[in-house]
Amino acid sequence: MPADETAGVAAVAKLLARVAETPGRTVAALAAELGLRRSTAFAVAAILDASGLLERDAGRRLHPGPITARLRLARYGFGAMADKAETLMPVLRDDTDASASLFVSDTERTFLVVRRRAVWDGGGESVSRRIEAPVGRSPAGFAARLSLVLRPKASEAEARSAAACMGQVAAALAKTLEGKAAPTVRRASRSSARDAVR
Amino acid sequence: MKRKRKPGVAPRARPPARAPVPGREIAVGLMLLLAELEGHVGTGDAAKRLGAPRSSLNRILRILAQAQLVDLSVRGSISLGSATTALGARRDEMLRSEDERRLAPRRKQLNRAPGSSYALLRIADCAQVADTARFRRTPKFRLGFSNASIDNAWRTALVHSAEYAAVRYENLISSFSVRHARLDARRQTRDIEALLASGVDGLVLSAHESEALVEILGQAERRGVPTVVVDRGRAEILPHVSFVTCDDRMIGDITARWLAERLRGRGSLLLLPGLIEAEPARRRLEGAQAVFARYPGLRILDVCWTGWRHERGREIVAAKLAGRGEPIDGVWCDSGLQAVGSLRAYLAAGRSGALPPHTGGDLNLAYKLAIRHGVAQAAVDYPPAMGLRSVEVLIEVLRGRSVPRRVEVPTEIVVTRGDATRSVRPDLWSDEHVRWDLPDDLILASGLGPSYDPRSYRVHYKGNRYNRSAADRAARSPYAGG
Repeated sequence: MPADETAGVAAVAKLLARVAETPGRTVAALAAELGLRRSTAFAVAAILDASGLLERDAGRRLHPGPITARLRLARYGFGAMADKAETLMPVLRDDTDASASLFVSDTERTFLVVRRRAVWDGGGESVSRRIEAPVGRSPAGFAARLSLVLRPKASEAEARSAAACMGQVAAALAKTLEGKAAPTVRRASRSSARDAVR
Repeated sequence: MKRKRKPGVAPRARPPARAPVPGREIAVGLMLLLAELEGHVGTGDAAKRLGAPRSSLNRILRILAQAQLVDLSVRGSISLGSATTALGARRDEMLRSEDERRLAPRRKQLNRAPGSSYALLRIADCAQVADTARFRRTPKFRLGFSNASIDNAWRTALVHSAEYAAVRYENLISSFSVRHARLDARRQTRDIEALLASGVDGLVLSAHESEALVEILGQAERRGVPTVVVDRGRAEILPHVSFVTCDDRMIGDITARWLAERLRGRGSLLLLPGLIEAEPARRRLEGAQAVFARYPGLRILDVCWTGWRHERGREIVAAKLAGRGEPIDGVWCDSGLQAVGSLRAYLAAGRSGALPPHTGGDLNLAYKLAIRHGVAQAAVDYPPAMGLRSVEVLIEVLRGRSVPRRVEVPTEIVVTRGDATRSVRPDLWSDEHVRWDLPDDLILASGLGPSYDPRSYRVHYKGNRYNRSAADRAARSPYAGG
């Protein structure tokens, strides 16, 4: 591989790694910071943008793109679910006025992967009622489940309706798991479980 | 030593040399492959799928592994590295913060979970997700709004709400153009053609006649211009990405149930639906008629389309009252736009003491009249806030984010105090909802905040002039007098 090609690959790696640390920087700023040639940095940023790994906002600042959501959930074998989870979690929250979360877990650990808080939910320790619905199991051995924290003093009828709505979303997410092949290599590594919540 | 070719034997054709794939594209391709294959791929498999020599791939992998984008700790396999997971987590943080900014603080204390319409239970499309990757582009965006008409206060509020979105998202929108078709299908086709010719990136559409727009919207989609339908339009035939609306059938159902229960299942009804060409009006009427059909004691005297015009509502009811036919025990309207005409006809006929229960809200004046004259009233406002929401959805589409095929904008059940029925419990009493301090032609569920006044509305966004709204000024103040 020629040297300029190595520089191109290094630019891909450096840009992605830096955006993972501090998103919201312009390509020019990142090029200066990472010691990349401006032309290389701009060319690589354009490729990353077109691929969906990064996206640019109106100020031309770089942020993680739509593919990164898929990569994050791919760790647990739920990558195909990422788009729907990103879209439907706020819908579930709005439709039920409950804080909606998506958890994945194996036998030892549980990870919170998406949470959309209801307006009334200040983020503190809640005494509200929690209801849950299973989504499915990935070939990597993780189980996904949805959770709703209902507003304080929610009636039994509200809880029933919210549970039924959650069931609809769980079914839509579970569809993405249909026909999944067996795991190709192995499970997610323990060392990288930085978003474990309990 | 050079081998001699046999005489008379043609040289064997060599396969065409493949241009080597640049290393950075292999690196990006590898990340996409990991996304597709749920985070794991064998090195040999990756080399084959990416068309990369093993030696080049190994060098690329070492660079990516150094940045912790991939994990090579298992021999012969490539997995996701911690930096890649961190990228995904950053994206979620970004989306969460955008989402929390969008959530408006609550203005009113409601009796039930506000906005909890449980539409996911009734409408399958709310849980369907549209793939928008092909429409993805970098902001800022040029947006167009093709509006069916601007012939009543509700439509003015819809335009105001959409324009407000152009201000709220000015960092993402480079221009916003609005065109009103004035209930003319051919004009609307020309409007969309003009918007496309002007180079809009995406369209918001409130369709007057869906059938006439199928072809032009298909063309727009083929050109990579997505359409978000708002309020009016037949989602089953129109090429579109998402439909932003409010459950019209539910509006018809709730208001009809309230009227039927209020009359204890007996009496004569006059039904005053809106505009016959508009799907929302037809769906509301269907919902209401399905409910009335369950009450054998209810008799429907007449169904008169009003075009959502208060003058028409007034004429119809005045004629019925003058005709001295069977007394009307209840008036079902799908909106307050025509209900105010009906109420005024009763008042003009000197029946201020005994007005039958009415349905239909939206308009401030409808609530004012009902409260002032002691008329039992129930309403489910059809929220013009869907204008704002439709622009938000279109922006999401242009950013390549998936959106639901149908977006339900929450609304509220409003009933005059003390007039709740067995199955229709209000979210708000009318006296909590009405705005005595604001004009009669205010539409209440605009989503534009408590100080929104349609008469003094000024807005500045890229595409308008002199801070003037695109809503036709002639459409304002149609409720004065009488």
